[in-house]
Amino acid sequence: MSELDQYREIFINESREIIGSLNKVMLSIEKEPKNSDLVNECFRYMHNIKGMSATMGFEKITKVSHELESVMDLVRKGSHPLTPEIINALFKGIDMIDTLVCGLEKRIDGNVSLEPLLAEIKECTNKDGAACEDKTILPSSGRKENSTGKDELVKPASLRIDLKVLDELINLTGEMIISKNRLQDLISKSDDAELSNSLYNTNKIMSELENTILKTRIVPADYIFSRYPRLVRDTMRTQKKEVNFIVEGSDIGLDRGILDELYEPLIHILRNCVYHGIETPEKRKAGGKEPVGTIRLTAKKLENHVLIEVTDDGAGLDAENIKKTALKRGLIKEEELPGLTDKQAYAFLTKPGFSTVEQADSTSGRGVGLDVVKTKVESLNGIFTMSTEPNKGSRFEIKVPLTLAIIQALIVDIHGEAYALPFSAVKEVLSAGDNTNGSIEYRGKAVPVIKLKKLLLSTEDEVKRDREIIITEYHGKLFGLEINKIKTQHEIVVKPINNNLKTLKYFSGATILSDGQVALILDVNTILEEGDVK
Amino acid sequence: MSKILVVDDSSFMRLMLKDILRAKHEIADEGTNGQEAVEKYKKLKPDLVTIDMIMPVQNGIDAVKEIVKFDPAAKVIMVSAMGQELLVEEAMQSGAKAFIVKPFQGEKVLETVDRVLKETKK
Repeated sequence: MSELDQYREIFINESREIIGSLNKVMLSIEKEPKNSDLVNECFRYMHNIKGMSATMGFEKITKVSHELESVMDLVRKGSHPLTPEIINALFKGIDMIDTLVCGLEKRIDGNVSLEPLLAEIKECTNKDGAACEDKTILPSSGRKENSTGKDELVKPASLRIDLKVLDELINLTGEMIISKNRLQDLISKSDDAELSNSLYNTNKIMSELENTILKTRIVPADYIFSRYPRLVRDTMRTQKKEVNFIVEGSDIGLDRGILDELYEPLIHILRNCVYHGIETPEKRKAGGKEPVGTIRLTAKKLENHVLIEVTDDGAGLDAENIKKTALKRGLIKEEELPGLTDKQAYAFLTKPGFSTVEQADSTSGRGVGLDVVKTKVESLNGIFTMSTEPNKGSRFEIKVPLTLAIIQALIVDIHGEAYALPFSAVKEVLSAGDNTNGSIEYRGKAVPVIKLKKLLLSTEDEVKRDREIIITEYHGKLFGLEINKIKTQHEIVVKPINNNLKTLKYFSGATILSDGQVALILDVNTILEEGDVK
Repeated sequence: MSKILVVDDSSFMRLMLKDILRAKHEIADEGTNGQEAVEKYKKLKPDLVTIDMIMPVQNGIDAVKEIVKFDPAAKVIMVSAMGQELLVEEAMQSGAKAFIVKPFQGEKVLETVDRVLKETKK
């Protein structure tokens, strides 16, 4: 077995991917049981997992996947209809494989009994296998949006590396650059041209190396998003609700570490939407709504953040109920109640220990409130916000920085220092000319100019320097940012800086330039927020 | 040492096969579906192809048919998990020279590869 042990990790990872894809395809099949493309795709995944597990000698997984494959084989040949019972049994089988793969990962050979499941699968196929009226499987005419044809393109990576190894590589690269900078100082004191030349080359290679290593951490949001449709489906069933779950922006790339951290909070939010947001079909109909509710999970790339939104078209948050609970939990005093706005009431949802669920039922019984979501998002330097409208629904927003992400930036000179300005913030660059007052004309309009030198360095020396104005936009309003000059345009690697340092409030991170120099990254939003106030 | 094209939609299976084959052969390239198999065969003209039967885009059997049509002397070994033995005949008719059933043993794979390489040299 030891010879095969080297493939264990790879087996586990690919199985995980297949299980994710299987869940997705099965959800689509549930909606279109006669779509032969989907049925074939499902069959293929089951077949793959069987072949892989048999090769590794994992008998239980082989056995389960063999049964699932056999059922799908009957279905795809038209010998058996795909009944809801069979779909459920297949889901259970997929879960079983998932459990077994988890066991492999944790190296525990749990005493899982396969018999009840195998019996259930057999029973389903025996039941109406013979009298199968509806056995034609229509070839699909073009695929639907949620078909998994696209998945092949957004699979994380074909090479799998332990995240710990990557982190270690990143640390080592950082150390290497610091040590190289020291070397650079020493060399700059000597006049040896050959030495500086060789250092120049080393510099270039090192920054390329660092960029490449960091890129390996970026995976599509699909890495976690693909796991939610199944969760929503199962939750909705236990709650006897109907939900159309829409996922958008799965291809947005994010640091894998951040995605790992967001996995649980998003589960919590989505569950909340099903439990508390979406009403039962009867209630919805009575309220003049479509009986099927909609929950939308979206990832969008902003300037230097990724915005993940969850919206539902349910009942919205119940402010009165929240107020009552806050009172019960001792979070406010009775006399404060009348003056409390709904908005203030919603804020209680993110207070530690607050939960509107009266009994610890199996639904939100884990005692996790939105406060946990908020804390987690904030620990990632992110922002968690929510808004709601009675009877219209709720919106939850998670905004996280691309902490380790790579962005395009202008490297600008401000008073002889290099700073990075995210390219996405730049609308246009103008020459300031002799203009020294607080505004510049841009397309026939006077646009206020923020002097970055003054803001960042509190100096305004009068030595005449080149000045350029970068036109940018904030909440629909145009601003100019005055710098000395643009040095170059680069792809930069964003590194976090300590937010507690107040003097650094205008920076969203730092980066190491190709010459090994550290440049702070301008947080254009914060700068403009102040500019807007002034 | 022969050049071999390895085609399977499972990266795990490709990795295993490549590791086995590398003991005696060179890996020309790898592919993840039937269409890639055909394209890469035409481009690289490998000495031998191992190809999975059930794959997305284009299945192994159709791909073998196309490869053999392009090069009647092509040496292709079909690989598939157990349960598909009934399709051995179809696979062989498509033009494959041998059929290996997963789970396979390294020695058996190398043996089959050697046999196919020798047989078709005659």
